[in-house]
Amino acid sequence: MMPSTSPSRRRWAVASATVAILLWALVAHLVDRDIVLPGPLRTLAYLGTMSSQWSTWEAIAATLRRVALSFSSNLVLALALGMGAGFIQALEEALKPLVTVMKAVPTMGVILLSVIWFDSETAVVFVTTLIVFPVLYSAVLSGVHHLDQGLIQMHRVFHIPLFTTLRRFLLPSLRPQLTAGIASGIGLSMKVVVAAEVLSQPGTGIGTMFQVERASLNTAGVFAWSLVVVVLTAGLDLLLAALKHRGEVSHARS
Amino acid sequence: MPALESLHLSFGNQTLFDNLTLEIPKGQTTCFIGPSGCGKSSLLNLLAGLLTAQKGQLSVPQPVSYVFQEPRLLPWLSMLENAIYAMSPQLSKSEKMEQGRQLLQTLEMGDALALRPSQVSGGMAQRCALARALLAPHQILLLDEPLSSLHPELRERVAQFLRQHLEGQTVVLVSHDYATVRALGHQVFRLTAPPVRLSSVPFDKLELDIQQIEEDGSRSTPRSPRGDRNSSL
Repeated sequence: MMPSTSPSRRRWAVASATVAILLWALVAHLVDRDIVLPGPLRTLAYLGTMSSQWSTWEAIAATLRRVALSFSSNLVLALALGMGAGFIQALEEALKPLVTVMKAVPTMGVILLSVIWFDSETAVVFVTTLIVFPVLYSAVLSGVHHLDQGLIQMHRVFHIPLFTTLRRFLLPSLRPQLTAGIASGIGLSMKVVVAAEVLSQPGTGIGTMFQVERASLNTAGVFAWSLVVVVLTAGLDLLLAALKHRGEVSHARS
Repeated sequence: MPALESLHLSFGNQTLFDNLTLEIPKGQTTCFIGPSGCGKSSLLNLLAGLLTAQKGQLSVPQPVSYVFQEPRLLPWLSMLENAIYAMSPQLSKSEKMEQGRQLLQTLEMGDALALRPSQVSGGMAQRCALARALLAPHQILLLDEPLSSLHPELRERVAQFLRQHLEGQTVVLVSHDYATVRALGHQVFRLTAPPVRLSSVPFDKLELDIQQIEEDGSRSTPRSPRGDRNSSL
């Protein structure tokens, strides 16, 4: 079952989206130049053409693969370092300056440097790690700081094996912070991967297609690819919300 | 034999144990009574390795099992899963489940095996924590007010069960309850306010001593009556 949204809230969301589309259509009509601002119908028509081309699906698959790869490796790294730093103060202090720099560094600067340093595939994963890792790491660290001290002592006294501690205590305890971190981290990963692709130009990918459309002055194409990113991000959000809801139900039943 | 030798423990400027020496006889239940804040739980935490003394020697046979003052159960696990949580990883899941089920039934919790901590009373959660400690492998068992949330009749029945079950085991018990100490204890020590001094309490003076501790406690800090804490069962 999907998480429920009350009908009145849904009405407001539909109304605001409708107003935005109408405004877009109105401004496009007033500008009356597709190269500057194509209207919604023109964009949808181009999206239709794109969907029949194999290269479109290849680009989407390549971007999603990069998002999955960089996000999952970041999540594993953030879990390991976040838990380590949560329990070992020296490690937390040692990582603090690094994480602060990672949080503050300008995305575009990192992308440009990584394009100089690495090949296009590695550059995308590197940039995403630099931008997304601090979000996930902070979520895990905050979760560890809020762990029940009594339960930690119980695990120490009974010498509960590490794997059991992780599976039965740490991960369920970190659930609220992890869910929030994953939700914001996955959307951010999508944005950063596409931005990195635009500049690093790997063989295929949504970002690469953005550049192709821009170079051929096909503004409708840029709009259509933007819509693809919006739909993919919304789809990932919905998938996450459904997984979260399913997890909560099975958690409540277990 | 568990032993503390010339132990010194202080928190900031407050010295809790100064030159404390104590031997805990093997295979017996040693009880500690004393007013709140006198260091009884700290003594158990030292024996459990949760506190480290600044000076002195401490020798405690491992592994240790502990019933904390609060149940400290995992909220997302059932009573049965919590009870078997600390059992030896060498045992199979079915062996653990069978032993856990039997012990919880003995502790009059047969109907609550599948319930989670939020669905049971304080008394049930406390018995589950007791079951977890009894099922965990141990050379020494530490009990901090293990029956305090049970109503008197149930407390007496569980104490009788423990008396048989703990026969020959090395146990350290902290309790304010005369009946529990009387039923389980082989020897009783009274702790005086920090820095802690220990004095042996003969059983014929035990009831009087506990009464006095309770009266002193209620004079110094107003507390709700013991029976009011989490409606027993």
